[in-house]
Amino acid sequence: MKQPPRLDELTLAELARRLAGDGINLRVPPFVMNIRSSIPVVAEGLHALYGAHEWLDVAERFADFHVAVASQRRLFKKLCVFEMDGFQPFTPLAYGEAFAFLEWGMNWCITSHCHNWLTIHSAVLEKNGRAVLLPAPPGSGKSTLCAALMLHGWRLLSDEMALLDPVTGLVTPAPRPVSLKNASIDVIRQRARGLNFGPTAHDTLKGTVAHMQVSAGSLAQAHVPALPAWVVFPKYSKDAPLTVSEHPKSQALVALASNSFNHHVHGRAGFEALAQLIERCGCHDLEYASLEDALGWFDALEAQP
Amino acid sequence: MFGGVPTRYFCQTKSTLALRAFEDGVVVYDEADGSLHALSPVAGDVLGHLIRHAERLSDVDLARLVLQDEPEATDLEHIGNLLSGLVDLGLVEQATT
Repeated sequence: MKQPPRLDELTLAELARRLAGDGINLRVPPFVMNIRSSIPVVAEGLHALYGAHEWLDVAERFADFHVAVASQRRLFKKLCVFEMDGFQPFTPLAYGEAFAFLEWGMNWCITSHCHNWLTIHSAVLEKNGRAVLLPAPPGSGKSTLCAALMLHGWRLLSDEMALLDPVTGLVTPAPRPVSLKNASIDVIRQRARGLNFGPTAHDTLKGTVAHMQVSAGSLAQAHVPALPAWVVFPKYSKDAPLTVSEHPKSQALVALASNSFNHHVHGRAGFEALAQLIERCGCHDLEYASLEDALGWFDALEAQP
Repeated sequence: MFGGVPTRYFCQTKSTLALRAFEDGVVVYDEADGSLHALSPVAGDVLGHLIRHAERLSDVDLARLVLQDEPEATDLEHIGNLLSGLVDLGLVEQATT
């Protein structure tokens, strides 16, 4: 059977032309997204970061979500708006943030509409069949650690959301570009040989934002779910020595639930699914300053039987 | 104690509560409003007894169930504090009749 073409088989100009027309159906596992935009930075971002993803004929393939980032002029300021099925859930952002807005908007589509999973605000990575969840608030260094782990050989399931099947307890992969902020961008860029970075958006609400391409291995295994074995709450602290402590499981369950976008939708079954995950997993607090030290700790964790 | 009648406790919402016990504590989920609370192991034990028992229980009853022994004054004080906390969380109600 003929494989669908990859996005990098299109030139940037051809991609931009299609995005400005009917859009492009992009396989963003486990979804198909129909994406439209006439904003050049959106085409540049997709071309740089989604080259290895499949694209499908708009006329022949159903899309789970129809999204667009459109330009808008307000007085003398050029802005952009995110749309899903013509609905604009967010206030406009600066024009230069259009690609980041697309990424954030796609996250919103999933967390707001996909209730067959329990969605948890957490990075998820896997090695040798065992997955680790990294739930953490902004500023904790979650994305930096997640990117470094992926570059260190861990498979990325997501840098932003765990899609937990409440029946099987497995996490469905949703590998997408890793969102990096501020100083992390250069820290990770120095390690990321062979992986593309997308457009840099300056002065966003989160500071400077750039995305890094997902590793080829992570994308190739996007159809393989993983069973969580650990929940690690990371915290970056400048100049702090590596410190690891056990995270009490009752508190880990409450923390995981508070990081869930939709456990209330699942009611008691959602609570039980989260409780089973916590029961099965080792739960740790990890405070770190040095990425090398943190990676070494994860190596040792993964080496345990 | 209220007018010589011991205060009794009961769990009105037992049908909507789900408990999960860990070594370090108990998490209770109320599906009526989606709320989640982390309790100490003993507080979780007290709530568990109130959920399992159909009748209303006094602090002495609960202390006996938790300790499997006759409680001392300090035990009763501790159980009383835990019950106040559970009442404040809306997980337990008290009756004086």
